[in-house]
Amino acid sequence: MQIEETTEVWEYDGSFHGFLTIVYHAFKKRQFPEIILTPDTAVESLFLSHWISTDTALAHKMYKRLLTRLRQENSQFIIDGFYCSLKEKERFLLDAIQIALESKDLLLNHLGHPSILALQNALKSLFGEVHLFTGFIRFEYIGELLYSTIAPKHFSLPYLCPHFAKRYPQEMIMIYDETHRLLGIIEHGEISFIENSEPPTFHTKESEQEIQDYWRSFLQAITIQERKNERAQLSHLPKRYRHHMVDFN
Amino acid sequence: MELAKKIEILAESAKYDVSCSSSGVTDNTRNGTVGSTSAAGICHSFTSDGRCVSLLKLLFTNACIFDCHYCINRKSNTIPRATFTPQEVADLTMDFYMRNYIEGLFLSSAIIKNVDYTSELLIKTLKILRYEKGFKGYIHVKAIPGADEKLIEELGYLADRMSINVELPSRESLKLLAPDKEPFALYKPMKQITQKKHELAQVPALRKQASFVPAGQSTQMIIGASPESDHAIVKIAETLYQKYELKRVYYSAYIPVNQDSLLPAITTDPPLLREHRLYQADWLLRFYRFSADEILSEDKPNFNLYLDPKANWAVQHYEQFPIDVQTASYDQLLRIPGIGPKSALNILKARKYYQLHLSDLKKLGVVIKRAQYFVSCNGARQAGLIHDPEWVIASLISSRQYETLKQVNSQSRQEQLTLFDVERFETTKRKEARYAN
Ligand code: SF4
Repeated sequence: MQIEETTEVWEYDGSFHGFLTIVYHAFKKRQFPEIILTPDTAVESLFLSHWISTDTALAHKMYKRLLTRLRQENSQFIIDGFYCSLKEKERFLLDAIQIALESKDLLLNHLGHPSILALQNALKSLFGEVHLFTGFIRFEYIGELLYSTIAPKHFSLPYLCPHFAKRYPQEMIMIYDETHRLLGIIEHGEISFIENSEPPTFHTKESEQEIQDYWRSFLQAITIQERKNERAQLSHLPKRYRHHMVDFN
Repeated sequence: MELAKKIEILAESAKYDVSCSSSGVTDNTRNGTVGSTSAAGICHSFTSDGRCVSLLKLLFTNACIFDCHYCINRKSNTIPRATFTPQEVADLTMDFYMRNYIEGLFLSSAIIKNVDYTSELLIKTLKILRYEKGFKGYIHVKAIPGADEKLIEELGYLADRMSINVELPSRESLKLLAPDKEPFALYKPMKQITQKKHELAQVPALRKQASFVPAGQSTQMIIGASPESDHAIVKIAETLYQKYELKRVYYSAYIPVNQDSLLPAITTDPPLLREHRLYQADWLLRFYRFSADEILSEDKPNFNLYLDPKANWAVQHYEQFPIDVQTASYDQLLRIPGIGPKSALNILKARKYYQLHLSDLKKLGVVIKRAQYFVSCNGARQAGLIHDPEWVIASLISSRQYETLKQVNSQSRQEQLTLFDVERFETTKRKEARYAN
């Protein structure tokens, strides 16, 4: 398929459906814009852009088509790629879709292409973040509810929820992602999300203070002073995670 | 006593116990309502010494009736003592687990009253967790050597992993430094667990309830408190892997805690490099098909502190190199510094289809910087290298290390090759360190 690279700037609402709408238009017109903005990135940019409004029906159609035309690993790569925090990811993803359509090959075999490489690196960082959060998330009991706040760089929460659904099969759990204003709810293993959510307001119980104190005394007690190495600690447990961890209060 | 104080005392006493590994169990054989043991490799925090925290590691009590010389909890020390109740440990474990602070519990204990009584307390704790609280997360428990077989077995059904600490690498040292312990009692429970696991595996009907120590057993040895050579220690580890099918042997550099004429002075630094070398040698035993006697020998019983054991072996056996990667067997490939199990497999796969070239090795995961002195490929060797063991050593270590090495070794070339009079190095290094500060 011959695709024309234009100098156009497109803008959309940043949602997954919005992105699929972009994919639809790009392939329909056989034109890839040079830049794709979202309301967030548009603020920093002075370019005049062409607004593509999200068309849910179209997006659904596009989604189905991608799932049938692409091999499973590749569609997963593209979906995961969308949920990474990566500047200009939309533009890279268009390239990825085109390569996947044309080569029928695993996208991972095309790391030589700068767009695929950039996406792959972002994916690694997404999954790395998800893995770290499985350990670094801290819950508090609010009544019967287990509650946690996180500030992930990537769209990690949906990837994280299955882990906690399995870990606490009988609990009611809420995890709030400040960065993406997303609230994940796990009820007896069932996962759901509320987008554009305000953080719920709670008062934590006194007894939580006590348990957090126990935890900090434990951490303090097992530290071997003779081997103190805060640099190592910092590289394993970067600052940006510590904000929400009771370990560092 | 307040719970916070107990935690302080009993976590502090347990901190030198290594093994943060919560790995080893992937299938869920336990019935319960909370948790899973499948989550291997999760660190929940890092202490400011940089270690991963994945388990709530506690001593049940530090009020010991024994008097092991190397131990901070020995009876004759005056230190604050504390003892948990089974309920306290179980509650704390659950509280921490539910808040995602930990992956499970690592419970050890000093001897209170007698060995059986202590074991019963541990069993009670685990029973509350497993049966009352439905906890199926990971539990690693230290068995109490000398306890009744029935008790060891019961504990085995409740825990994921059990360990019995060998503590010291020889009977003589044990007698001297742990006078209350019966050296043979240490190995008995190990044998019992191995046998029981075999038994269960042989009866198909029982195989399903494989929850008897499903993650296997491990042990720990203290390094540097007693005079055994590295060779002796590696030999013991080898036996433990072969005879008792241990999952891991942990080595822990002795940190002097007691003023004692039988032990290194309280000012002695813990032999961390030695500990590191032991872990490297342990890898060679478990993954590289080396035998203990290849790694070290009676006449060269101690590690080279400058070269890792594998490189050291290769330099000492330089006549066996270069090994040709196009034709070498898997075992031979594993002997080449810079080639690990994974890259060795990659080489085997790749060479089925292609004639390898030296320049392919990097892509196959080989660390060329190390391997280049020891490999050839279809007869070809890396150009421009001098193939002389002494030169190779100089290239594998830093120039500063090499300078020190040359100074301490007398200048005869022969001696530089037989290398490494370890004690002499250590003294020189210590002297240097003194001036450096
Ligand atoms: S038995 Fe020996 S090593 Fe164990 S706690 Fe008591 S004194 Fe320490």
